[in-house]
Amino acid sequence: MSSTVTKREDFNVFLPSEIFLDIYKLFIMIRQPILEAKEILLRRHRRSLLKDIEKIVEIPEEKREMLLDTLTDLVVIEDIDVEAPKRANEKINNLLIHDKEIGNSIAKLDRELKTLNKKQREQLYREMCMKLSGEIKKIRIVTNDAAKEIEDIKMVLAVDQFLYTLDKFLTIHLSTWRKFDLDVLNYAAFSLLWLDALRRGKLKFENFYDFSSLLSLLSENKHVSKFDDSFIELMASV
Amino acid sequence: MYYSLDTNLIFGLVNTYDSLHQESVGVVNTYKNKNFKFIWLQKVRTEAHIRFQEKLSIVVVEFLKWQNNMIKLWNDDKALKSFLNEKINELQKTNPYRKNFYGYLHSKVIDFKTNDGNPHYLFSYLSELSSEIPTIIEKEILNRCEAIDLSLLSPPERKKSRELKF
Repeated sequence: MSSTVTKREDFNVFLPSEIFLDIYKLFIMIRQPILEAKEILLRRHRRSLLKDIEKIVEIPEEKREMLLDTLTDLVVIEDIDVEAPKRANEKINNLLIHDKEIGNSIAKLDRELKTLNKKQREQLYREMCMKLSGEIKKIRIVTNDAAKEIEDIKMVLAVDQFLYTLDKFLTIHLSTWRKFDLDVLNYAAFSLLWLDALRRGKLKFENFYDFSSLLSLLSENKHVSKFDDSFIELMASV
Repeated sequence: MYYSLDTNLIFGLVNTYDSLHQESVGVVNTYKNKNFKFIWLQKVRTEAHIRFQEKLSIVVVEFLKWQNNMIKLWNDDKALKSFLNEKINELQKTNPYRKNFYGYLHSKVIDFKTNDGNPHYLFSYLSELSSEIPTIIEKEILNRCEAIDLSLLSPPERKKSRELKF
């Protein structure tokens, strides 16, 4: 597989900014599903945590951009393989927990998530994935409309295919897996940052496709082990 | 006896517009008549998915340049047909090696129209089509020759498969 280069290029010419408006919101929703469980927190008399939620979600634009810039650096790697989202996840968590402004709030919500029982957590993950799937469909309406206005649609098409594949990946896993696999969240979070890395010109166009193909294969080969050696071998040789 | 599918044969079987489609079907039928069983290795299967998807995406981009013209002509069958034929002929002159994929995509646009597809969502339809290639290939190969994927066999069956002769 060809290497990923972090050279910045002006991709914004080809990509409407509306596509990326909610990347942070969606990423943080995956990373911190309890953000979506305000009723659970209220039932448990944990009103104080609502302030932490607000702090994480409503961060100033400048800070949000800086955070995304650092986070996208973590996902832009050479020779992407099926384990990449898992490896990046540890670094992402580390970065968020140690962030001066939102680190404490993230840690508090993490602790709260751990107090939920397994069934509640699984339900939360599933609901969050369904919501994410709905949000992706909304973004795809934007890409569809943008395609009529833009002359060079190669990039918009690639982004739309990526979003469709991510949505399909989530939907297939939600409908076929009896037990929720946390790796699905790693893949989803990684995917959103990968998409934002494209906007930031940190990915070459041809490399952007690599992860899309990988997700597509993982969706199609749900009956095959995710870490089947042949995938890794093939992805390394393409 | 077993026959192992390769990427080009898969392309030929799946794409009815491929110049080797008839020959590919012929090869499969010949071996079927000889009671051969078909297998496709995971690597070949994955490679076929990626390559087909890549080639189709290139052609989708070329087609979508005329998206707005197609939307305007959508309700006029004759005009749309003539427009597409003219544009595809132009493309084929420039890129004759993509002829198979132009034909394939042309047929899919017509399918979309025949099934009352909304032209304003042609972009999403074609985008999904190229993303669905792995599913399309899987179905077509299963229908044509019921190929077995060795990686899906149980451990004892896999052990047995090492003794296969091609």
